[in-house]
Amino acid sequence: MITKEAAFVSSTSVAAELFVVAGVARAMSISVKNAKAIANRAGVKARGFSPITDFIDEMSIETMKLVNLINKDSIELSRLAINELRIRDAVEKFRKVSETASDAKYVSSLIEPIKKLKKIQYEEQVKLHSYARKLKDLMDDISKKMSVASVIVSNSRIEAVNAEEYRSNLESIANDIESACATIRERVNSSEQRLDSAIQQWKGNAQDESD
Amino acid sequence: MKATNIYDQRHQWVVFGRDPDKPDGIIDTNQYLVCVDDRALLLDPGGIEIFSSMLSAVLHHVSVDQITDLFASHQDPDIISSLGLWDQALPNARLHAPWIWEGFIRHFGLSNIKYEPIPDEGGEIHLGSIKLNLVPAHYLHSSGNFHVYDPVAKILMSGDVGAALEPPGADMYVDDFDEHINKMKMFHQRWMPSNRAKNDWVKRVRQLDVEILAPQHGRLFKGENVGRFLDWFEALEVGAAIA
Repeated sequence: MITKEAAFVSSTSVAAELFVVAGVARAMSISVKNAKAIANRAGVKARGFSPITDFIDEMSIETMKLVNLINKDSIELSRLAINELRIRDAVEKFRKVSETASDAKYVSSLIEPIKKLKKIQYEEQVKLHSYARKLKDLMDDISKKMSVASVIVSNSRIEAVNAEEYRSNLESIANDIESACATIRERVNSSEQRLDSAIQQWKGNAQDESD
Repeated sequence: MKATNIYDQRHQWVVFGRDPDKPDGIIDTNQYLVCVDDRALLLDPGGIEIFSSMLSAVLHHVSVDQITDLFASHQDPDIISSLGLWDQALPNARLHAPWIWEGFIRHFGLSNIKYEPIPDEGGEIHLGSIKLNLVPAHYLHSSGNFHVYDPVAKILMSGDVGAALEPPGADMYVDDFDEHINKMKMFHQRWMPSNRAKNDWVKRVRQLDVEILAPQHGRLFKGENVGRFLDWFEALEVGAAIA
């Protein structure tokens, strides 16, 4: 459970969380290549293992690509979040000045800048939500891939049983891959929670602005 | 925030300071506004923490669209860290600041306001019907530093030169110069790093006709106290307040 943190911190943290995912996916790809080498040595005894390793290898490579995409988008999301924060801060300060200086001769000259800023703020919020949605979709893709990978790894255990003297090696690799899948799912889940928390804050801010 | 008219003829100078709403632990600053015809210039508009008080005070004198120019004597946060907020309020203004600090000052946030870099030798700000001179004050204390001289009002906005550390609510003008020395001696000895730069500045300022010397902290010097200050500053050994 992510405790309440500023939305721009949450959105920035997504990139850091997923940087770890890229490393785990890379390690997973190496484990799979090891499994493939063992399966080749095992020959007919591990016949069923090869297509499984091919599949997981492909999946880990796709996961790394997705993480790269997410990285770029999460950096842009973070930039947008900070920009939105600055604009919101300016709007709040201008509003406060409108109240405290209500007797000032030129206070009405703030109306136009506030109006313009609120328009920019709205546009930034739309962009924020659009990026956040895109990121969530990409993260969902990774989660789905990891669920499938977990099922495939279970199947690989059945194949490992037939591999006789190679069994323990293959089972150990299956454990590594399973653990990598779990780590990735955990990190993605944590990133999703952070993103949800940020989205809730942005929604709350937008609601406050419209009140 | 207290606003005091220090010149009120065909154009006006207003000093803002002694802010009672200022958060504790923040050095008190003087901000200046020059109004000419339908235009206005803010000199060293201050830090982010005093932005709201400052804008509230300014709106009693000019509208936001009249503020066409900002000036930053140097890069310090108490001078210009509010830039990102002014940038949202004044989309068509210009910021006059030392060329050497452009890449640094932009870190405070600058998307709309145009940065007008001041060359080392100084220059002018044309504000409606008047011209203000940008007087080099490098190493006093910043390595790229300018002061603003108004030859009509005979006011020299002198940035950190003449600054004093005072308790809240101090008067706007120096009344007893000798007593005031204690409040500014350490500041100048510690913050000003170069005797050569100091003497060069004193020599240049002696050629100007200055009625009011207006620093960014503490009290302003008026009339004879301007000359007293120049004599005192010239004789002071600076860059020396290290234990």
